[in-house]
Amino acid sequence: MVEAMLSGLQQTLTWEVMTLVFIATFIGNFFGAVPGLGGNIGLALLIPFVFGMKPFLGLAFLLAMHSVVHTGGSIPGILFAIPGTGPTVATIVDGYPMTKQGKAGEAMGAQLAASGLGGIIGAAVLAGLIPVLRPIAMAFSSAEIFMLIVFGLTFVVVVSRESVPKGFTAAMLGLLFGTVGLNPHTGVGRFTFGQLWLWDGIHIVTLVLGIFAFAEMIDLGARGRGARIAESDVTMPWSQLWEGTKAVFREWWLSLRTAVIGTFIGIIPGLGGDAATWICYGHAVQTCKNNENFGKGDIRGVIGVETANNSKEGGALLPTIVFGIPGSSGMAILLGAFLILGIVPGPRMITDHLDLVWGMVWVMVIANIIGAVTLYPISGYMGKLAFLRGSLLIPPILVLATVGAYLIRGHWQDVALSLCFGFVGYGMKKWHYPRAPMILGFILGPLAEDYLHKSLGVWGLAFLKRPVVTVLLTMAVLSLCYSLWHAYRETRRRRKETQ
Amino acid sequence: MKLRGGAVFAVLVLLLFVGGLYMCTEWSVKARLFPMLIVIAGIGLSALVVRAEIRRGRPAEKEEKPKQDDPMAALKLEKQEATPRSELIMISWMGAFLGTILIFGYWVGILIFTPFFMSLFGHENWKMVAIFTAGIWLLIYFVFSVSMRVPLFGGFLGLAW
Repeated sequence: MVEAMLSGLQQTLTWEVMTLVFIATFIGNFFGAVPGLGGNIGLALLIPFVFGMKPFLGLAFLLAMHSVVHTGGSIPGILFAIPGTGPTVATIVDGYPMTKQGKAGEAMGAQLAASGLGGIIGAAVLAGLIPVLRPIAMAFSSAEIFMLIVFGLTFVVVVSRESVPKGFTAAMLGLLFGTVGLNPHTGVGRFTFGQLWLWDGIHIVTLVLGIFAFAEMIDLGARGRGARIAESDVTMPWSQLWEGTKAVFREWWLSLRTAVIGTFIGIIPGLGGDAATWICYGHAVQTCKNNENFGKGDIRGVIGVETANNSKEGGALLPTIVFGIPGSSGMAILLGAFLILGIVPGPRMITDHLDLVWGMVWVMVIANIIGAVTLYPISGYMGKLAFLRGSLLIPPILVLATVGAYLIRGHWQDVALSLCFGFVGYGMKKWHYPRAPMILGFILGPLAEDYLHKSLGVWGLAFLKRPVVTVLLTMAVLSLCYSLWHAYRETRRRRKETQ
Repeated sequence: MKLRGGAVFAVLVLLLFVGGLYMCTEWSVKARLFPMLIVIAGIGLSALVVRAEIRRGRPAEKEEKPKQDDPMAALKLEKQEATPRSELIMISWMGAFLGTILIFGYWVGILIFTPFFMSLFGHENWKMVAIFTAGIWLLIYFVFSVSMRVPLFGGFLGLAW
């Protein structure tokens, strides 16, 4: 274990990796800070850049970028009440009132320090769980993995708060798109329409670029030619930044608690960042003394949310690398990127490639430190990204997205298909279909089918009688029933409120 | 009765699953087992969504304008700006971009689409248009052609180098 830890550190502390991590943190902060872009689009746009890179270099580049997205994402949230990324919405509740009170610097200082600290704690918790997961991972055969995937799919309900049927429909669409191509078990071409380029199936990048990047650009453009994010300017003295930073360490117990909670929420596939930040915000409100200022500009509200925001990425990485089940939509894209780089996530990552896992932990730690530290001097300028007009933002994003769609396989049809997914993604966004379940279904579908056929081939239907499979199946059914009941109760409550 | 856009979208999704079911029947049992499970579940779920969307009917009136001291106010205001006409315009621009890339390829397509989009859609001044067009072209050229040496699509006219 110690050997693997040191080997991972050795792999990370090379000038090639460090340079890429440094560049990636800037890019990650940029994508986080520009509202409408976010980590998923950033990942999708960056994947073509890692073609041909050594696996660990590409992995470090993408992981570092993804680890710091929410650090930059909170900047427009605090300054203009515009969240750069989804999970940073909770930061606005106390961050924006602080800005209005002339304490933008304090909120920013707290946000940067809490994000960096949260990311480091998240990576540390991930590192601490590796020895525990090793025996569990080794005990999993194809039957258990199949049932674990089914269990992961039940979390679709959790990310479908607005409408459970829509969430599941999106997941089914993802699963359906995942079946396109030649079936590896039978050689039958499914949904290929006689097109040779579809034999390899739909690429994850094609889908993600469409339903996120293109859909968001349609949305931005449809809001008007000069759709600006913010109209007011904000000043930020240095002394306030320092005060905010000190507050994170003064409230160290709150920072630690919310970071650990965030990490564990991140582990649960499908639960995602929004849940982690709001749960931790609720925890901060419930447990802090003199909590009457929460929602009106309490710095502890910013700290509680921001530590969870970055720490959950450490947690989300765990099921992604150990079981091949992405802990979030960002991790789903990252999972696709891992496969492109020749890294196959699964139990063998813990048994055969432990140094690689430790390398990821170190990359997360270093990226979070660089991400937070480098933002201090430029945070004021980064905030100005919220002033970018759609007409300036759309052309470069469109060009990069189409280049990305083309480069994955060199087919122009992928560009056209990606744009079609853009229209689907815009429809989903407009009519409130959650898009994360679609990615979850797309990634998990082929894996589920593969493990199902393997399990049926070895045990027949008797694979359902294996003890761990039975437990997982029970958990899946219970989780589904509980989530459905919760969603039903929520819908009734909302309906009563509207009446 | 006029249908909401949401209902039309839901019907299209339902039709996609129905089409999938029809195609599944042509494959062997092993090949169709998994897709069939998906499309059957998809048909059931999307039918539920169609029913819910039709029952909801058309929205009676626009949402109430958020209060100015609401921290989410700016976000809500942004969301309300899109109209069916502006959506159609933007979708047309996307289609035009795809068409330009497919016909002329990336190198020429970028030089055509970017200035047209920025000046006609964004009403940007010519200096900004020139800087952005050159910037995007050079970024793509240096990153993909010079440093990564990957050939980009030259379009149906084969305008690549």
